[in-house]
Amino acid sequence: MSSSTELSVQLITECKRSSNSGTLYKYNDNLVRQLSREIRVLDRDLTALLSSVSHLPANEIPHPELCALTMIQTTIERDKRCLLAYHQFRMSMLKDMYWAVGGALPHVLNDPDVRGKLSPHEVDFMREYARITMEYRSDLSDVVDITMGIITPPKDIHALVIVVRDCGVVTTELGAIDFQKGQRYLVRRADIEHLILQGYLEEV
Amino acid sequence: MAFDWVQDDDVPMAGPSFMQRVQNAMRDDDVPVARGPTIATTTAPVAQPVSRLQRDILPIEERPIIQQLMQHWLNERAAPDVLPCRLDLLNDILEKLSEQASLVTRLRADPDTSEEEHFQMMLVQTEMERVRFIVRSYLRTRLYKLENLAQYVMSQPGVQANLSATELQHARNYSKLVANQFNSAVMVNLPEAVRALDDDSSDMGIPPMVTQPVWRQPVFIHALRDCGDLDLNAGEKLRIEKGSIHLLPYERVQPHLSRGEIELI
Repeated sequence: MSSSTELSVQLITECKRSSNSGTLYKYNDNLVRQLSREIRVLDRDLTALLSSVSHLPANEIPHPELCALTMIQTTIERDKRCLLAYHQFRMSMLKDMYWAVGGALPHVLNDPDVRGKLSPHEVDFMREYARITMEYRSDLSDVVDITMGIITPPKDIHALVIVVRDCGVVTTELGAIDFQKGQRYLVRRADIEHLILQGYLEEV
Repeated sequence: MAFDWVQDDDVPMAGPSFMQRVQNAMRDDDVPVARGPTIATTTAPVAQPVSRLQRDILPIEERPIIQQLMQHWLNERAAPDVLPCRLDLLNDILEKLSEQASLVTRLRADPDTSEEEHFQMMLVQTEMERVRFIVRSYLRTRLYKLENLAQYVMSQPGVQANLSATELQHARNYSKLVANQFNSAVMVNLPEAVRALDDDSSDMGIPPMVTQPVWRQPVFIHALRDCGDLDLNAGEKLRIEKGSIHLLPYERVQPHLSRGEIELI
């Protein structure tokens, strides 16, 4: 029943591969359309079959028709769930990417590599998600910055960083610091963590 | 004349070893160590030390607030559903943090603070950063669980009582966003009859579309009080005594957790 060439299984295999390799693949518009078409065809068959037995009361429908109805209904539901699972999986990958860069949406969306892999719906999703998280963050943003890392607790308030890409003048607690490429600075962790996450600075 | 760079290992040392010299050194502070109030004693540190043995058995509510927050953070990370939001604790801690921050800025600008006090201020600031880390992690864990369970949360007013107002609003926004996304990307291509987002064929063995928290998830519990007998699945009973540690399905221990009789580790 679940041969590996079946469309729904293909979509799920792609999700699995994507999660195993940790990379986001291009939005598989082709597969999604094929699967939607399959659902539409099945639904037409289902309606046709239903209308052919609709004159009978429910407990008198002959067995073959009953089996066919159940089979078609189950396949439709399965296809739908697989489709939704694919989209859900991609959405959660996108959300992870968003939090990994500390909530800097332009950094994700302006990367041409990533942008080419998203469908227009997904781009809208990212924008809207950034908006609602901003709303959530605004409550506490003056006291605690939620987007900083949560993997290891800080052992030190300062970090020694080396500048990998030019990021211009940044205002920190010690004043405005001009980050030149190749220079090292000892700065407060809280000020530059977002720059580390986005790849402008590297911790030494 | 060739300089002998290689040190002979069997040449005896000229005197006592470095460590011995350090331990036997005289006090030579340039500035006399202050005996009066210093930054360490004037800033009420956010955590009062409580001995580990005591802390392990103290009910959560009686511990210093940092340790309360840490325990709630641990509970939140271990539990599969969203626990009641401790906004009061968070507000307390954030208030203390901002007090400490203003104290530090004031002392920094003051020319009378000594070198030693500057060092102490660095320690205080490090502690502040670490406290912020816990607050952050607590909020992000809740957010993560919220987003995964958004549909479930919106359909259960009981769970909504566990959320703060901002979190509830976020859950509402997020579930609407996801529903829109599904509808516009997928459902628009499908026939009308198939467009429901809350299918439940769990009688056929398919998990329902509205993801519920994993109730059977095993969690480690540490009992703070005698909890009497616990009903396990096969009709067995397990006696939970004070101070014991067990690995149990979350659904069995949830009532005890909400009463504060156990903590998750």
